[in-house]
Amino acid sequence: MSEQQPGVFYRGQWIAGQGEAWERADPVYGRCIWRGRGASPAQVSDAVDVARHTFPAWRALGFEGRALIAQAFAARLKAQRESLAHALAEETGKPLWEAGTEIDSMAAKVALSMQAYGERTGSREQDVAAGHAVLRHRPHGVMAVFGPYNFPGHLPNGHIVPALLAGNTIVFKPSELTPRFAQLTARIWTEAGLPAGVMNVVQGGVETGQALARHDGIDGLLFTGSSRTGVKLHQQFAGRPDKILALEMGGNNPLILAGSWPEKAALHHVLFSAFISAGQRCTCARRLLVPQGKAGDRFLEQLCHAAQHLQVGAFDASPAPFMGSLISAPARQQVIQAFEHRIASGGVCLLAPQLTEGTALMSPAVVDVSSASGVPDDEIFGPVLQVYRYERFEQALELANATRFGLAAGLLSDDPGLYRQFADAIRAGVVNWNKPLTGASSAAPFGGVGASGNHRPSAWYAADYCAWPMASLVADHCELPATLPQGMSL
Amino acid sequence: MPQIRTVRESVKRYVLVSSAEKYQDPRHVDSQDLLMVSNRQLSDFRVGLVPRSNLRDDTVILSEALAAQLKVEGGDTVRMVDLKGGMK
Repeated sequence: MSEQQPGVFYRGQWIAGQGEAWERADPVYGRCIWRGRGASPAQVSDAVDVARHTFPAWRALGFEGRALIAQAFAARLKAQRESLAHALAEETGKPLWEAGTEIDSMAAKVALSMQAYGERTGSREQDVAAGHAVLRHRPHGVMAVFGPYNFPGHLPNGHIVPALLAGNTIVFKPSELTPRFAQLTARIWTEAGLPAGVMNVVQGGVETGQALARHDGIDGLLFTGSSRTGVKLHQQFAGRPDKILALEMGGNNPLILAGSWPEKAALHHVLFSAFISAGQRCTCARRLLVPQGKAGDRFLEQLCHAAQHLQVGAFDASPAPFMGSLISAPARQQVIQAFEHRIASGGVCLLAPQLTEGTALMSPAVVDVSSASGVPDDEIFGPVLQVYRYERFEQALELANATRFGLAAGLLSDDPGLYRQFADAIRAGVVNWNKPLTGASSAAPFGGVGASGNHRPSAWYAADYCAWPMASLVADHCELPATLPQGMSL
Repeated sequence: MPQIRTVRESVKRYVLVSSAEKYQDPRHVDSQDLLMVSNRQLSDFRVGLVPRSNLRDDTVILSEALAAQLKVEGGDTVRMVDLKGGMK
């Protein structure tokens, strides 16, 4: 694609960006798939103004009117599933089959969000002792949505759909690594009948993102991305209780193997948890806690063998691979550096990654860091699994909680007693037993504690941060109480 | 001006502009299914016709072309009136 792509979408139109220029090449074949300039700070400001101006009209349309448009959006996603999945897979490097499931999740989000809106927010009335009580929910206004690159469809969609249904208007800044899919998303919304100015898109990197986050015209910011950026946003929003900030960040997620376990099922769950999406899911297992002794040794041997044979390949390779590429060569470089750092700190390499030159492909890596020193409590956003060997289960629980994050944690064990202990002690927002760590249900709240978020869980609870409650006591006319308060005479 | 029917019976609506096909100005809409819509600028007053099906409780959905003719955009307000009367 050689022609310049527009970088700003507002008033229902795409126009050329006037900010930084960049080019996005797909991470395997290196073909340019998007080239253009991002939104300049002045254009970001225009987009916020348009969203602000459109807000009262969108709010006035009412929930049913908005829901009809969102349903049309879901229908269009389903109708165009194949071409959208292809575009998404090419841009991110994930296999086609996985990209297809992402489109499905986007479509399913609409019905779930409509249900959650009614259940979590919506409106109700009841007679209480003090009179007739009415509870309504009101949209905040203009919401800025920051999207990540690993799920450029599903994750921003998880903020955009509930925010739109609640009556907010949007300025969406996608990741600069996935500009094309954001463009497609805007097109689908437009085809579905979303009025101009309701969802606006500003393409760009840091400059664009900062201009949007700093803009005084936004009423809130909904963020999914790295912990580093999330913390910066949190600092920036300090002293601004008037703005809502929802942060979904990463984790250093532990998965404990304990007691006894069915070998193949446990292998599947560990492989899936650690290496699905090439390790680029925020719920991926980063640390595997394995008991010392022969059973643990054998499991690790089998794990490395199976991990080595996981099929890694281009998004459109045939037969279909389990894992595609990382998002970019620099991202892969960071993951490899983190892996090498663990080895240099005393970690033992159990499985070395294979790299395909000239691409962002990387095969799984496993490193035993039990005797390494100074292993940083960071999220390695790629297919690197760190192994810790432990003696007693209590020790495993301590290790599992020894992180500033708290997104996901899991236990693989036949012993329900160990699960009770685990569920009691573990500190994480997504806690699974004998299930992979990834693949959280959109019908449940999603979020983490600690450095993984700011207690504004998403998915089912996204409705909560998209509207504010307005509680009213009402009566048809003023009535004088039977007795006057002491010290009052009329 | 309460004596002028189009003012007396007109209602105010928020504008939403859509380029989706179903909101485009249909060529074969029966005149009784059309409403008169005008912008609210005295200095550049413009009037157009919009299908009744585009009208909602508090909003009206205009095609891009009609919005451009009326010189309005999403979030602006317009006045609407039935060609035969009886909006209110």
